[in-house]
Amino acid sequence: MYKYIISRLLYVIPVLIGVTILVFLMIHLIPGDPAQTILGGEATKSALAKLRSQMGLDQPLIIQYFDWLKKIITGNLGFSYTLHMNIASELLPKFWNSIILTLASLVIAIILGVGSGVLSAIYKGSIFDKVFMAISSIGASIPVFWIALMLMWLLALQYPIFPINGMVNMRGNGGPLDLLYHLVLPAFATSLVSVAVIAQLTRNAVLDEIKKDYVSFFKSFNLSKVHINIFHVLRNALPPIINIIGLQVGYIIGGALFSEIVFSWPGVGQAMYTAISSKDYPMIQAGILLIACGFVFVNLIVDIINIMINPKLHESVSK
Amino acid sequence: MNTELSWGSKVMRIFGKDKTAALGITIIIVTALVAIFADWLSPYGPNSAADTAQRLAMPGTAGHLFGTDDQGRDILSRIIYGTRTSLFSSIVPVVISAVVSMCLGIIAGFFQGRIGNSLMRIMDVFFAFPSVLLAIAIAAILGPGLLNVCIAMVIVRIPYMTRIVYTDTIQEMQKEYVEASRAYGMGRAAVMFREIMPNVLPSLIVYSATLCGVTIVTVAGLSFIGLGVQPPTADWGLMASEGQNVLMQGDPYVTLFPGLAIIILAFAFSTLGDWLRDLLDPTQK
Amino acid sequence: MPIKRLAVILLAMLLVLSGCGGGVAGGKHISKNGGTLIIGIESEADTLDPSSASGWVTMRINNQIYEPLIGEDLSKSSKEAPVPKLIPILATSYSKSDDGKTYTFNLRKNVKFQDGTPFNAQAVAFNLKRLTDPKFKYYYKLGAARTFRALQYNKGYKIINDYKIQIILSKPFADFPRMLGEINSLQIVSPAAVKKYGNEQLGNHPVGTGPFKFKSRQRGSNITLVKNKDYWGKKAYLDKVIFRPMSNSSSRVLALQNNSVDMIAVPPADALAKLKQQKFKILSGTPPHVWYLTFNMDNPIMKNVKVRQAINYAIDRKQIANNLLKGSVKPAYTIQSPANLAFDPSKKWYSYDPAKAKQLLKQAGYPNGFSTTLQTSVDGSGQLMPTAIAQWIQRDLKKVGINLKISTTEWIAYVAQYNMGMPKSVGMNQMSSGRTTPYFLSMIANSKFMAPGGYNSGRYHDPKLDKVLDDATTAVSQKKSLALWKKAENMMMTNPGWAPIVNDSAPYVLSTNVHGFVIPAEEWYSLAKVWVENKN
Repeated sequence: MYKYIISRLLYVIPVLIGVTILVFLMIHLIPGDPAQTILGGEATKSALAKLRSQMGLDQPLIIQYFDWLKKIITGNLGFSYTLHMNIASELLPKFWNSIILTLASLVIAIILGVGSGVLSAIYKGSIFDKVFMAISSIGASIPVFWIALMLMWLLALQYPIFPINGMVNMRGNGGPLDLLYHLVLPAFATSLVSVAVIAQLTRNAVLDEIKKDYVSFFKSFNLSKVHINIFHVLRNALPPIINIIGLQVGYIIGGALFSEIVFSWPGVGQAMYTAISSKDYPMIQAGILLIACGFVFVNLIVDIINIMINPKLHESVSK
Repeated sequence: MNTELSWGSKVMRIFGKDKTAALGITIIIVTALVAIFADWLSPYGPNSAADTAQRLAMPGTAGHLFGTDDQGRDILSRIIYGTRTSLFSSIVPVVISAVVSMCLGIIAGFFQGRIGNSLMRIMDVFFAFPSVLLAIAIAAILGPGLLNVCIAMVIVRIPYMTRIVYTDTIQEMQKEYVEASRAYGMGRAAVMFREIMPNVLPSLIVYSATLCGVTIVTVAGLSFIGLGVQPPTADWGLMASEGQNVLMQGDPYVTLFPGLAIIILAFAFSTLGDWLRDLLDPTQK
Repeated sequence: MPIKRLAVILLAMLLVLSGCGGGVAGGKHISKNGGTLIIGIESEADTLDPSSASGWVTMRINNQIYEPLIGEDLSKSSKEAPVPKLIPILATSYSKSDDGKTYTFNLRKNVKFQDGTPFNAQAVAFNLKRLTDPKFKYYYKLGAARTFRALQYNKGYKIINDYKIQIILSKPFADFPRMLGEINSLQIVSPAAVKKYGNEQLGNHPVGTGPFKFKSRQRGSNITLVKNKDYWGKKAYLDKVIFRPMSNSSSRVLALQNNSVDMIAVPPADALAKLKQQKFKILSGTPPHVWYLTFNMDNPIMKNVKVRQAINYAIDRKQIANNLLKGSVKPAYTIQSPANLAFDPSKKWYSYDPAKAKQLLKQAGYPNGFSTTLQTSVDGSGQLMPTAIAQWIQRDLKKVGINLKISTTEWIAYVAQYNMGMPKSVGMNQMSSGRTTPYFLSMIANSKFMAPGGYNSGRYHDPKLDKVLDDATTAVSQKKSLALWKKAENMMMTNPGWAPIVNDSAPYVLSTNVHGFVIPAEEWYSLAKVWVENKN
């Protein structure tokens, strides 16, 4: 098991290198002169020349890459010429806000998705099962921005229960309760699609498990249904469920981008949205790098949890 | 002759049994017909405001079943015309990436060794990005527009599809027929594309159908950010986005209807995928 | 106009209220001091450096932090003062030499910058050199480029003593004092702050002499200012002002309705009726504002004057003003902006005439029309609803056969792009501007302000017009200068490089507990006299 975990950890290194190469190349794929693109409208010839030598654009691409990598590792994410400031000082606080939203959405997705999936499986064929599965088969096709807007309309406008947007009440003193209150709508909007997907797949995983021989074997011993479900079926169905959750992390991170935009949540998604419409490429580049790195680490954690829960798995996974 | 018969009966059987699939396929066919005959079906042009005083007419207003938007344009008409961009931007990128992935996946699976491995390692890098993020990144670099969104979607889908073809190809490689055809002196290309391809095609088709639905939703998201189809083109994602202002003033319908259209079509594609899986994919049996 | 009438009534009530000295509202005596004012602004602001910051939305913030030597009296509404009066601010008085080329300023004593350093003639000299002397160590290129239209005739300065400085011009630029208080001009920044943070970073650590000082900024969320307790003049009532960028106009309305902001700029026209019903205060004025298109003179199609005239005829300005914007703006038939002495509302060019537009296009050789691109922003100060208006124009032009493609950019980046001009392939771009001086015409039409760098984004170039504009700028007699400005206006409209669309009334909506806010005949305002009831 530990061998697998170590090899999984080591595997992160080439992936991260690949990610940085891809993100680095991004700015060079833009048609035209990268310096001109970065400086945008205001560029004078001397400023362009200065930036070109600063970026080392006259150097071979490989050297440019390593120079850039060195800066990234030391926390220098570049300079935004639109905002006149260092990107790291702008983006890192927003990254934390994004993490808060993403984690909250993930928690909701897990609790609601797994919970309703398990219930549907146990009460297979019941009205709850049928209705819920019908809803979730549609739910997987809902655009996050749309459900975010609809939730906003319903629960912030029509029935003003939750705040419309933002992360804190500017008049209040903040605090965790205020944050939680602002978090509800964006987190729900982000997680709903994943709730549907997780519920469907959890249901299948649990049903597969219930079908197995040992369940009827236990039943013949008159063990209570609840007991069997909780102690055996669920435990055995856990690895595939965690796998499913792991696959949903990407969707949640992607969905959070949209929720941030709709609910003006001051995170990386919102910053990137502004950066896109102001063609602030260094900012877009840094935002993508941050999110991708975050995603790589979340995947790592999911895999490690998976392997710790079910050590047998690594034989089939490590190839 | 024989196979045809059993295929036909298979189609009918599953179609008759699976009402959801029947619904989904009907939706897709109807949408396609609407797209083709939009000019005849639509009560108004996509950008014409019959009367400029008709801004923000509520749904059900005479002549405007779904109401009008803040520019006075008929929402129903725009949804009808929107079928074109939606179908185009979902099907075309998926088909292109399916073709590319088929080649890449079979090649990687056939020549496992160095070529296959390095190809799949490159693909792995793409998996390090949530697919929506990657699509946003590519579209942001290329600039807004339908064509660029399609390019972004092709690039985003290729790694996923290639991986499926690759896994299937490896499985096929272990089967006897591959060795047999090599023994008969068949060329590599012939083995790959005449022998292996027909066997890996079904699962790719199934996946493609499902992906069409996912792609509709992703493309709508790009339109929402402003990276997709540009105004005034009628596009569901863009319409939903343009309805934001009105929604915040209390009327959700400008956003509601195009959103529902997106969901219905995406749902139809996902049921098509499920149905095709039952029909084609041998692994499910 | 019921809105206007209401605004006038409210304004009158306000004046009465604020005239009550101690501030008696609801029968009980309350203190005006203290409290926080939260303003929902229409887009993210640019850098908080007054020389380089573009856009009114940023000027509205900078104007609270920084002060000019001579500025406009922003305490009078546009009704009371259609053109704002000039008042001494950091200078107590000034005099002009007979040839109109030397200005002598007596500076205010005992003024300190918000970082504690003293304000004096050396500080003014530092600011001048920063924007005009390329050899100066702290010369700021971007600031110099953007203040050029105000400081173009600056030749030098002479420090007479610590509190007296002379500014010497090469030409008798009559509007110089007025231009001093304008956006992108000589708002005095702390030399110590420039030395400490550098020119580029001053905007992140702004230090001026104004009634409010900078506290913090979180992009996409807020810019927070606090009261300058050491202010030289009458201190501000408010303890704190928070500017919250909300580029979606409807979300500003919602924020106001649920009390998360106290005041918003540019409510969507569709929401005005409801806001009025909900007893919010709706104020508006006649600022120097014109929302216009600029034709790209480098574009082969736009070179043809008939095409430019046709487009001007093809746009139904009345429909945009009355239908799309529900009468919250007025159709504009001249490029000259309101709120200056040369503005004459009875002068009109190009009322809606699509038949004539078609005919002109035919004469120009485009009987079947053509395709071209319009660049515009998605939000921004004075921009109203840029994409919605652009789409309306798109449809109007479609009717005469012109296919318009719209290309949009976020505001701050858009302004930077705007100052660079258009690529050949683009037919026109869009801007909202205007000044309290007719000098505005020169800013957008004079070839010396041509993009890149200048405000003449369409690269309009007419030597005859240049001469008229320069003569008007430097004419010593006001009567002569006004006649020249009118001549220039006529030239600019008959051979149009622009298509004026609408004049805004710059509406603001306020909660009932906000008092003392005045919309002057200017695109920005002062918050020094604003106070809030029910402080929280």
